[in-house]
Amino acid sequence: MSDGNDADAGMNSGEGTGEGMSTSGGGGPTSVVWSRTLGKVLILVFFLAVAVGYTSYAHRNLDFGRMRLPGPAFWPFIVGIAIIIIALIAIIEAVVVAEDNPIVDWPVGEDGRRVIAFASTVLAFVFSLYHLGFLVSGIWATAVLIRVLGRDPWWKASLAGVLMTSVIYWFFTSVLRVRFPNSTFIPAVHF
Amino acid sequence: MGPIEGALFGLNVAISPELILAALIGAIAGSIIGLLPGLGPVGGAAILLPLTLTLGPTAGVVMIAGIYYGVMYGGSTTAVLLNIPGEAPSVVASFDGYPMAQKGRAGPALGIIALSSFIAGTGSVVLAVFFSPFVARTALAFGPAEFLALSLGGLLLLARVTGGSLGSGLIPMGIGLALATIGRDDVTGTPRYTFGQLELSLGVDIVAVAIGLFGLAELALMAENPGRKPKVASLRFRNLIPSKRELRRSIGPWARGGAIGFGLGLLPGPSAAMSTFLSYRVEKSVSKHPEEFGKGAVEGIAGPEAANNAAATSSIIPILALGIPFSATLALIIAALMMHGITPGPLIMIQRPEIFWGVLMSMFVGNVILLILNMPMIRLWVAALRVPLHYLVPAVLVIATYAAYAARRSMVDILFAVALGALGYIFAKFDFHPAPLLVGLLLGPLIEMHISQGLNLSRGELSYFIASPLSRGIWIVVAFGVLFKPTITLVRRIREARQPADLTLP
Repeated sequence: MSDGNDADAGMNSGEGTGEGMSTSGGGGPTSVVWSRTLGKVLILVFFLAVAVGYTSYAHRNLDFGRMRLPGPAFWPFIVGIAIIIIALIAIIEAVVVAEDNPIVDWPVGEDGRRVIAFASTVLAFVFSLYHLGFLVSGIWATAVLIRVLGRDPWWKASLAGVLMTSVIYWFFTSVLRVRFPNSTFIPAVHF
Repeated sequence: MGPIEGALFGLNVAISPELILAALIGAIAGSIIGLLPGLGPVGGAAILLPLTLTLGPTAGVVMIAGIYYGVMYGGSTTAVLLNIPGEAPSVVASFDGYPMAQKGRAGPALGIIALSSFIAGTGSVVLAVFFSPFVARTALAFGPAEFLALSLGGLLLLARVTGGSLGSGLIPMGIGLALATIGRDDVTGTPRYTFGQLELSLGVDIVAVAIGLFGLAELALMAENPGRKPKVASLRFRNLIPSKRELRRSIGPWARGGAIGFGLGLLPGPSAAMSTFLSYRVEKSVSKHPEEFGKGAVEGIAGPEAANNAAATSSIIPILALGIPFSATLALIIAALMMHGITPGPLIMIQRPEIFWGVLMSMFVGNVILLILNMPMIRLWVAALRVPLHYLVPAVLVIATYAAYAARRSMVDILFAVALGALGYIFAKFDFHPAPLLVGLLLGPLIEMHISQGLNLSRGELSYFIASPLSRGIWIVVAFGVLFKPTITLVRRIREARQPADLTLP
């Protein structure tokens, strides 16, 4: 995570101009600073595109009905148009009005690697749930995360993974009676 | 059933072993969630929501209410001991709580917090007992126009009151409303935005969205810097007892803070956080020693903490009496009731009095439990502060994933949770507010229903929605709330732009 100095450096490099991103920090990059304006505009344009698609779907595939008897397209159409209008106004606002805090810190270096490792592990964990089931997937995912986030030795991370996942699995299956479905390769274990 | 009869009936329900257990679990879980960084009341309550499936609807709501209370207390504990407020409503507790801790008065500061919460919470329950039936009876006369004004107007206010730029609240609100249209249309049964996928026809689950938006997103933020190793001094029960002077100085702030919190809790938006800041300002302005504020003034803790708890209590009234949640945590309380097939609203007082009065009175029981629980268990809470984040993050991830699945036994909900987790992370980086998304998702179908019913009743006349004085009045208040700040900002900017020109005049 960046500190205040990084933020200051970033502010000097692209303050409120929407000129993109730069790295900061004296002895190598510790964070990437983004112009908040540029980032917000990109996000709002994305939402605008989604809203256009959403409204167009309602218009093409659903029945609008009549005013006295609205059909399934009526409300989505209103919502879609509302998002489009809000997004357009918000884009103008983002460009015209200066941000109080004009930079966005994205973690890079060690911090960035941890976040990427976390996100990758979550995605792999979800994929693994379908094929290896909850117990096995939970054990490897917790072990990997403990290792990545805390630098614990593998044996300790694995042991903690087994204990933590088993207790959570037991709690859900035995106490709450919520059983995970069988996976492709491993059938669900019931305590 | 009158208020007194209802309160006695509710107390009878609330002291059943199941409800006491639910309140106890909720209070303990909430206190721990509040102490641990990041997760927050919404993420925590969403993760624990499947627990309510094993309980009855009343017990489920009581447990979530207990979590809500507990989180507030836990968040204030870290604010006092570490100067790290667990939640937005706990920020003010650090202003004077942490200086007190630095002077060796951490124990009495925590004691004052526990007492403030108990006294204001109990006072609010008494007020709610008399106030809620009145609101519910009034709401019985409401038609689609009034309900639309309350639900859509409340949502718009929530999206704007949370502050920031126009898009920061309204865009998430729009996304929430759009997500709510996925699945089968309630009136015609037509599938919308399902793309032929059977699992999507059930719609988007609010629990999965809450877990992703508030839980997984926070885990990603915590993963940025998991090296937290707080150093906390040990505390014992006897250290928590405030002096007679400190107690005397707290009485006025308890009354004022409680009144402020109760009033603000009835309104949309982050009422608990707003009430703490307002209470702090009020205490500072009425104090004979305003110079002590920020340096360890007891009034600076007692007032805001009372306001915090009173707001948490009174915010339950719009849920029970109107069926309209004004915050993300409260949306989960509605979700808990809906999981049991109960739709809250004005009729709940007549049709399910055990839920209406039971939930209200269990808040009193919950306050007693928190007081009894928190003071002796302070050593345990301090120990919880020492849990390393690199163990906490994976554990919460695994629990959150199972919880996302458990609510509807659907693997698609896990995918939704992960996708919303990514969105929540981006929201956090760019200052978008996630609460309007969650509340929009919950209120979307209700708003659509009120619009359809209103158009049916009026044969397509849009003027019907502003025909009654009440709906007109609500819309005027909403328009004022939404437009006031932008108008003031615009006027200020125009004045600032004109000023240099004025200066050049001879």
